[in-house]
Amino acid sequence: MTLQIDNLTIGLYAGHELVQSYESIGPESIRRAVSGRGIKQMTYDKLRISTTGRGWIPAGLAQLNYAVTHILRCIKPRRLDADFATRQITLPATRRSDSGYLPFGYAFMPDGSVRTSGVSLIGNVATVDAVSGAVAYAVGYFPQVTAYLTRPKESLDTAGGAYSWELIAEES
Amino acid sequence: MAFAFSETSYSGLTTSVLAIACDGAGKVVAVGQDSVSLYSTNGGSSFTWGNIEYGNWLSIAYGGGRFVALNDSSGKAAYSTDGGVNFTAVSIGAYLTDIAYGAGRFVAFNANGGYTSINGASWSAISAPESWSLRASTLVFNGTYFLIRSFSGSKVYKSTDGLTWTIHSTTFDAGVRRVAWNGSRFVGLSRNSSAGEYSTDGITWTAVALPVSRYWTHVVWNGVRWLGVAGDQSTSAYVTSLDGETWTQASFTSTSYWRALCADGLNIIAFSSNVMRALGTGDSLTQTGTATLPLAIAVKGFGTAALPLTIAARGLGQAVLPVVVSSVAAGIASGTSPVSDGGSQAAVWMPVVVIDGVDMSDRVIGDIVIDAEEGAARVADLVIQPAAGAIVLADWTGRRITIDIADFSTGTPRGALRLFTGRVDVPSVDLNLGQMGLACTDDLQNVIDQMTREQIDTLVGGRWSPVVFDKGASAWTYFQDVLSTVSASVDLSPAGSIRRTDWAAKATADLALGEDDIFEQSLAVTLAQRSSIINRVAVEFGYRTPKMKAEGYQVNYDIMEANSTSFQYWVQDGGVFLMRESIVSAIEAAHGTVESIEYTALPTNPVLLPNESVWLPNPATDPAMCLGFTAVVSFDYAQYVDEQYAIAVEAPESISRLGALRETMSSSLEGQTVDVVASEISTALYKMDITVIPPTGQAVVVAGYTTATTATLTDETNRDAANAAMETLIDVAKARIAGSHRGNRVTCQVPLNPVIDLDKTLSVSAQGVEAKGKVRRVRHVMSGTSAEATTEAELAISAVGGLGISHPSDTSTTTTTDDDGVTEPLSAPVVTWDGTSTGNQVITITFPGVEDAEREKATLTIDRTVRAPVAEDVFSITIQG
Repeated sequence: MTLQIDNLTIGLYAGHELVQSYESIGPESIRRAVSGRGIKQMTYDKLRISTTGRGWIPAGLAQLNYAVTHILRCIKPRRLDADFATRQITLPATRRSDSGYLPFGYAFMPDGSVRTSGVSLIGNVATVDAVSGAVAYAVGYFPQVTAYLTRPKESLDTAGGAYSWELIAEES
Repeated sequence: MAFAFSETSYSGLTTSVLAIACDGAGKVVAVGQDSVSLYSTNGGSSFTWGNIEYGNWLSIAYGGGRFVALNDSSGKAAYSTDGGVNFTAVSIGAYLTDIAYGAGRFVAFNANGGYTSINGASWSAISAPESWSLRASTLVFNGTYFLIRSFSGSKVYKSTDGLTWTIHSTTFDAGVRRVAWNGSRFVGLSRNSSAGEYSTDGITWTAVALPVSRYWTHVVWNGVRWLGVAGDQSTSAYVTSLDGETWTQASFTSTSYWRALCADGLNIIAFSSNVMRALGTGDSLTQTGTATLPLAIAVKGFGTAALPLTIAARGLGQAVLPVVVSSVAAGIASGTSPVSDGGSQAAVWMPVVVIDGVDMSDRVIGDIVIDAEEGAARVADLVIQPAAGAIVLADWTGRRITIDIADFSTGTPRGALRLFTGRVDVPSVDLNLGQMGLACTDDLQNVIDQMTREQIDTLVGGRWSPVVFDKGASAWTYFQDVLSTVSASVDLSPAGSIRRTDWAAKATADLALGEDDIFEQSLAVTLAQRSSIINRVAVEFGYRTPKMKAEGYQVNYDIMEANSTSFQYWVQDGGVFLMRESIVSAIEAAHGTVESIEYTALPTNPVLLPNESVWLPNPATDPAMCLGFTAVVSFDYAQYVDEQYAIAVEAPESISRLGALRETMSSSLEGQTVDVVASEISTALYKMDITVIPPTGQAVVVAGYTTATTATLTDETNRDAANAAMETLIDVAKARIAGSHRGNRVTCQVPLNPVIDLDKTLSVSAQGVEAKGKVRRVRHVMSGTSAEATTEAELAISAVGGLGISHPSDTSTTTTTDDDGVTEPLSAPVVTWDGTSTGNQVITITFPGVEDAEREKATLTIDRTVRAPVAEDVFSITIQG
């Protein structure tokens, strides 16, 4: 898996152990009416992406400009279920489109197993290739987010000879 | 003037300029080999040396306030923020050849890939949609998307942001080196060819013929014409076209490699390899037609409608009028389904803040608070995070601002409704956080101050009297005076329209709020303090009027009767006759005015006397004498009459329930005429025929009586003015009584609802409270930190005895009249005259005279009661067990 921050690629040597998590951030509130009815209010919905990695060489994070936004090409795919009849789903426009990170399909089988399947794209509409016997389809895609980065934590474990780092990004 | 180039040789320029860019406003920057950089601030008319790092600077572009150049030999870029005076070089890590600006970023390419940069300082690689083989020099931005063509002539690539690119298979002339856009089409010229081509979408290209074959490399559009040069060939030829389809050949004076080309407005600037600059001028924009806009603007209230619309359509460019028509769902518009309450699902909302036409919604930090109260300016407070850089705080004062709330459930603002329209009143800055606070107002007082009194009258209605209010008051004070006579308030709507709203609740509430709508623990009731209620206003009004009075005396005298004799004996005994002149003199000596006089004439025939002598008439002297007279004599004087009005304006039902809660108002008016004494004198002079100018007021003389009349007064002090003043005071009293009975308050908080405003009547039914009343105050809060969007509404409830209790009222009309008919019998004057042979023969007439008491002011007291209306709104509270 290759994490990319603009033109900085964190490949195998700098990040052979990558852990990435997504968290939706944005204010929200639930208040109650006199009747007890819940009234939920929300505003924006943005993504916070936390990535940790270990590698044999430093990740090169210090060279990034933390005052500007960057394009973060994520490694953790997200899933959207497709309409079963058409096997189609509209994907977010902001997603990775580089080789190896194109959208891919899931076909869910009656026995609970999942098979991967091909996906064809027209614009942002993805169509999962049909799989005989499948009962449901979904599409996985790799988010590509324009984000501000928080200055990273970096460490070196001399005993293990591993460089560790943690990078938190928030969608701009 | 026809288009033509003028050429200038730059002797200090020892190497080639390779690229030029301009900002469209006079700044032109050229770069080239061997650290060449030049800049112009006058559209290319003259250039000055700039500073740039050594290298081979191959291309340059302008955008975002800076010029950025590329160096194809060192993998560097250089940016200038001062118009090309100085450049700062940075390493990209890639050797890039061509650059363009659009969508907020610079995009640079070589044949195999590209990079983007917001500022020219920090660069990021572009993910290629496939393995790229590009003609990088064809990179162009058309205002909507970037376009770049493949090397082979089989594909074009497009991107709206420079980051993500789409592939489009097509065919085109691969010999085209550069492409330009003019607002409606792309045009390119083919190298080593007499061909060009154009396209409206960048995908489908149409070939056109050129008049001559050259190594065409550059093409540019200046708003009037296309112009192409051959940068890879030493030639004097260039080609031009008005439409990109039909081309004509023209020539520079010099033969050279004309290889750098740009247009700054109508100017076209080219540089050649032999250090020559050519400036093409002479083009001008002509009006090619007239556009009409079927636009109707309805102005409600007293605002001024203005459409500052300018559409500049230059040459073949397209004029665009971005009119946005937005529709709002009925539920949002009516307030039954506000965007802040999603019903059974979450409401996703966002504020839309526009300042001076710029959407600054994404710069708002924290809470936005909008507060509107009856009769006061609507205010808004918010905090924004301004863009980094210098801020001139004073420039923010007075900026126009609108605030809306919109549905954001789709990620795009929809169904926006206006909450505030106004101006920045006080900007402030938090130096620690780098944030700016904006205290805004809808400018109510200024709007009122711009209105004429007639406009205020039309808006407010009501009464106004110069006796009660200040005649010389400003528009704002006049407005407040008039408004104090009506049971209504005036404010500006969220959209900025001025409006009057009656205090009375509507028969049917605009919105009904129940327990499903009102936030828990937000409903509150406050009852009016008894001491704050007024149910009786004692209006005291004094009116002093000057009266012109006249005492009329009838004076009778008969010599014979007074002396108990007859003409024969009076003459025989030596008695004389009265001289007519002396009679009038006697009256005038008593300061009387002869209204009329009749004399008893002497006989005109001889009269035989008792002693047998004969009295003979003398026609020459007898007419000057008389035997007696009857005269009406008047004495004119003035008197002030004080009328003291005591008008009780009251709400009887309220008094019976709460007791009398009093307030007093008073005013007075003095009738103004010419000076009273002068009036008296002028009357006398007129009656004495000394002047022909009639007095302004004059009582009718009636013999034996004192009569009176009110002098003619000025319009502002006459009886009508006095009546109007009293009616104004009565209306003020009524409004005060009605207003004081609105002191009951019901307050509740609901999901933010823009429909809830000061012109609305709300009904509340929750937690045992049943109420209906007009909104007196509304406060909208949009919290960016908690996502809570709330409206707090405060209802003014008028209630005394409950529904069904009637409060009849009387009109405020006052119709008092002058009572001039005072008459008093007068005692008779006394005439003394001794016309006997031994008498002094002096006539004296003594009148009773005008006593001081009659001149002193008189006082009249008039009492009246006027019933004032009081509303009974729905208002009951049931304590729930």
